[in-house]
Amino acid sequence: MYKRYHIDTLPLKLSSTQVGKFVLIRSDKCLNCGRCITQCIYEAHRRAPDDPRKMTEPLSYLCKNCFACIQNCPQQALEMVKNEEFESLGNTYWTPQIIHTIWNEAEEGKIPVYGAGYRGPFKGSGFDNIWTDMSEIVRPTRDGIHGREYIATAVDLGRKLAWISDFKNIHFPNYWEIPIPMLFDTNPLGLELKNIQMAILEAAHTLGTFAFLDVKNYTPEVEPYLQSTALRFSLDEASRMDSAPWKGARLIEILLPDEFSPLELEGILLKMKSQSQSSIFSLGLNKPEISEEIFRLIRDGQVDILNFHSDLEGKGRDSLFIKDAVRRLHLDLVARRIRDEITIMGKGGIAAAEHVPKLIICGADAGVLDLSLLVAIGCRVCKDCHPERCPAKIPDIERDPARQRIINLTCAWRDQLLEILSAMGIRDVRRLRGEVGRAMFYEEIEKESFGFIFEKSGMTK
Amino acid sequence: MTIESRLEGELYTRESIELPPIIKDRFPRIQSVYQPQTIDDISKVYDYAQKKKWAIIPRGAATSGMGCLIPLKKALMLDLTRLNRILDLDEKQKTVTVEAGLRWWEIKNFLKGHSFDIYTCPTSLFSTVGGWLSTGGYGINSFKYGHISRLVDAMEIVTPSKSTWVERKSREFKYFVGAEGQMGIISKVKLRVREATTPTPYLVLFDRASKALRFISELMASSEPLPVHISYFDRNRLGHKNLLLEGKASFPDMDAVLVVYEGASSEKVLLGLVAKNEGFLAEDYLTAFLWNERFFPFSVKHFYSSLLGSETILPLKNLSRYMMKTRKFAENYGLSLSTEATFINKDEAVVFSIFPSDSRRFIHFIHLFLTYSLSHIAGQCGGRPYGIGTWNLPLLHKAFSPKDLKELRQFKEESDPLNLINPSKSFSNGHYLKHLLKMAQTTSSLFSNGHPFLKPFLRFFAPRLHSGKPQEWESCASCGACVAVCPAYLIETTESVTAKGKLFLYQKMQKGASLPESLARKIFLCLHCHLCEYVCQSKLKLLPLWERFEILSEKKVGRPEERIKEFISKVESHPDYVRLLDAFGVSLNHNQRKIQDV
Repeated sequence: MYKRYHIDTLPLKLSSTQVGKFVLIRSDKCLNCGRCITQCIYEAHRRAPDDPRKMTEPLSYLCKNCFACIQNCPQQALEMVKNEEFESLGNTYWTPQIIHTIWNEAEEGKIPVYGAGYRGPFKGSGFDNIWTDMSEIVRPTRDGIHGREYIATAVDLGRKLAWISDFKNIHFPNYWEIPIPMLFDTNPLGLELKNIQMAILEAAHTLGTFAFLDVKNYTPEVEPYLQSTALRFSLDEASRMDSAPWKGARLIEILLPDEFSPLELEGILLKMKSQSQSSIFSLGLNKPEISEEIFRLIRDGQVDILNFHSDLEGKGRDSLFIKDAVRRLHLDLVARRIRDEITIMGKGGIAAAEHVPKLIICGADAGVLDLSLLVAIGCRVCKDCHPERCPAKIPDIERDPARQRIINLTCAWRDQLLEILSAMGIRDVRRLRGEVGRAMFYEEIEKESFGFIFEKSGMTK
Repeated sequence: MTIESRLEGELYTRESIELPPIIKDRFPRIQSVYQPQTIDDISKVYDYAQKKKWAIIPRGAATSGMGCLIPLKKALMLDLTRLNRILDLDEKQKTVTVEAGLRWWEIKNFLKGHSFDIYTCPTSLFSTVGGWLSTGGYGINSFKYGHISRLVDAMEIVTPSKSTWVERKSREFKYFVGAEGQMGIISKVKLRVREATTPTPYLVLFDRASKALRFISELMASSEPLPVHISYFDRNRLGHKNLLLEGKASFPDMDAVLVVYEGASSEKVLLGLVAKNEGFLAEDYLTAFLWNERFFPFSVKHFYSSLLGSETILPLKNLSRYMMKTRKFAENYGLSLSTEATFINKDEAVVFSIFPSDSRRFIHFIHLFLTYSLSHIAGQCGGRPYGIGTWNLPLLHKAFSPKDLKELRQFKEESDPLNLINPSKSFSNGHYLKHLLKMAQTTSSLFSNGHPFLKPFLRFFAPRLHSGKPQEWESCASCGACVAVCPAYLIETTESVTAKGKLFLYQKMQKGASLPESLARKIFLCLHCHLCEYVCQSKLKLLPLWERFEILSEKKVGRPEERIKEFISKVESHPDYVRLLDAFGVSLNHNQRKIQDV
């Protein structure tokens, strides 16, 4: 029977993410009158449970800074100040706002609300210089489950036939359909935390997608989730690895080092492929260049997926941002007329719901989430990560809540993907791939508008 | 409301001057307290009292210190403060009609929302309209606007036989003003109001009292627009106020005159007179502070457990003689006497002389006695008592001429033939107490020039008198401001839950009284809003005391959790609660207080 894809969310609070943007301060002038309770719809103000005659300290993390309590306090006893703790979250890429948003999404599994709307800026670096076209005013996840019609978020990983040359002997290549264009990375910061790896893997398993696992971290515990595991090898490991576990894996990735022998790679791929016929093979690249040798591997069906690896802030080699790298890869393959036969993915720097469709617009089929999964379970993206004194106690987090929060986050991001698709009038996320016409790129607009002035004087890049 | 214990009855008869128990216990007790909310309620109480053969003691906010609430007969008390609706505001005629139990503070708040203001109000802003009409009538701005009765167009009186509106023009009107609730109960008042104005106070300092007084006379003689308010403060009064400034600033050791103009003032003439009399203007903040202090006549109670004194109406021409005599008197007995005079017209002033005492010591008893000597001095200077109550009964002949008194007594017999309301006071048959007081008063007059024995005795004790700051419960001036603002009072409607009541009960407990369980439970009905601290004129730190009190009560009766929860939900949904909060700050909606239909 037809079953509509659905993600079960469950609101799940973590004490470590109770950091509000602002801190409400209740001064001694407070009369315990209770007017703030009636004013606050977020229940940031409450009476003390042990003595209801007195007010507790405001629960600032619930505050959405609507100022109702402050404006209506008969004593002007409340004030709101910026929360230092909030301001110190993350870094310039993983901004406090981004972290806070992920926390909210992971807690509620719902699309976050930004009060007075987006006030700009309308340009920025990275993903922020893409504007997506969302001219259709529809809110499918609000107005009905998927609006009037079902919108598909499923994508295919692997190889497809470009044409059928011999109808008598059709050899279908392998591909896997996953219900969301998002894959996970079980080891985003290289922390090697068993519990977190398993939580991410279980979440991927529940959601029906893949989670990348470094082969050195493979344990028997992983076995029940093998069909959702994407095993990742370095070229070295791949050459040494002779037997299980990879034979049952549906997706295998080999990370390419800077220097390698194409012949050796081909040998390894051939060997693995002959031993595991049902697997699809991915190459992890850190630059968007397809050498002739690699192109040959793609053309000959040895490689099914190209996965561009960038760091946590989306920077690949030579500081090329993931969206530009993916776009270059995509156009390269289009030019070589092979784009439709294989899959492109990108990993790194995917920090917000809209980054997924933006990456897809640039030509990827799917994105790999890494650090955002840790943020979902409370990570604050500290400048120096010391697991032993982690403010969010990530190493001690239990597997069940961690898994649920990752699922919640994914649901919130998928819902936002649905909103974007429906606002574009697209019914299938596969149709969004490479649809640059659905977006505007700031540099291009700038060039179009002002290029003729500055090109002459040599002021453009 | 019925009172739950003897303690509550005592609380309701408490006034700003507290008597030693040895005197207080001689009086009959209040049997119960009724809080009428309609005129019908008052009539019912009349019938009930008649049946029981009890007297009726009407009461406003209990801020008078004259012993007006002392029952001289078994009595029930009529607490009129819940008769507190605003009935009508006529913006064209500029009148407001209110029920008599309404507090001046509330009228002021209400009028502020309509850009109106009252002409004059008492220094105890938390006293009631009816109360002030019945007992005093001079206060802030009385210099220009005179006695409050001039600003009352009409009032409704409830006597045992009927209830009627009495116009100002009518013959009977004057019988009810200043009658201390002996003729009938004032239930509604139609007051004249004015458009709100901004007062401009000037504080002029003089190195000698004589210069200050000459300045006042000359200011009054000038034909320029007269000020609305003139008060004179002697240096001791300012010295007492210095205590409140906690060293942040201080008044110099000088006499002062506070002159307040509204609208048109002639600064030039004023400054000319100031220069002529060798005075000079005080700093703005001192001026503002003193002007603000007008509503806190007992604020130094923070430092002393007892303030005693007298309040008299004196002719201006005798004021300097009075000052000289009292200074000598204070010197003789080692009293730190301070005087403040508020001018009520060009010839007279209400003179308020107080000195600190210590209610914890025997000397308090002698000091109480000396207050009569002080009144005697005032009498020698042509003064008459401002209010009679119980303590000034011996001075009745100074307040009224024999002809007036006869007329008043006759009227009392007509309107209250059974002598139900506030009996045995000035207009009805005597009580043996009157003779005792008379004796005390006569004896005290002998002491006014310095008694050879008492003099060295009191002087010896004077420096030892004020050892250490008094406890919070001893510093309560019983002004009732906290009652007016207490959210718990809205729900429980008994003063036992207010700061005034709790301080009283705590004091009793300290002295060994045991609190009945029902009262002990009520101690917990407190929002800890500290509005009582806000309005407390003795500036008491009350919340720590409530915590202690709750611990004591918890030991006794446990913590009534359910009752507390119920209490909070009741408070939060009470319609007057919003109004109360708004009176203290930014309001959700101005003019919350709607005019009510009755």
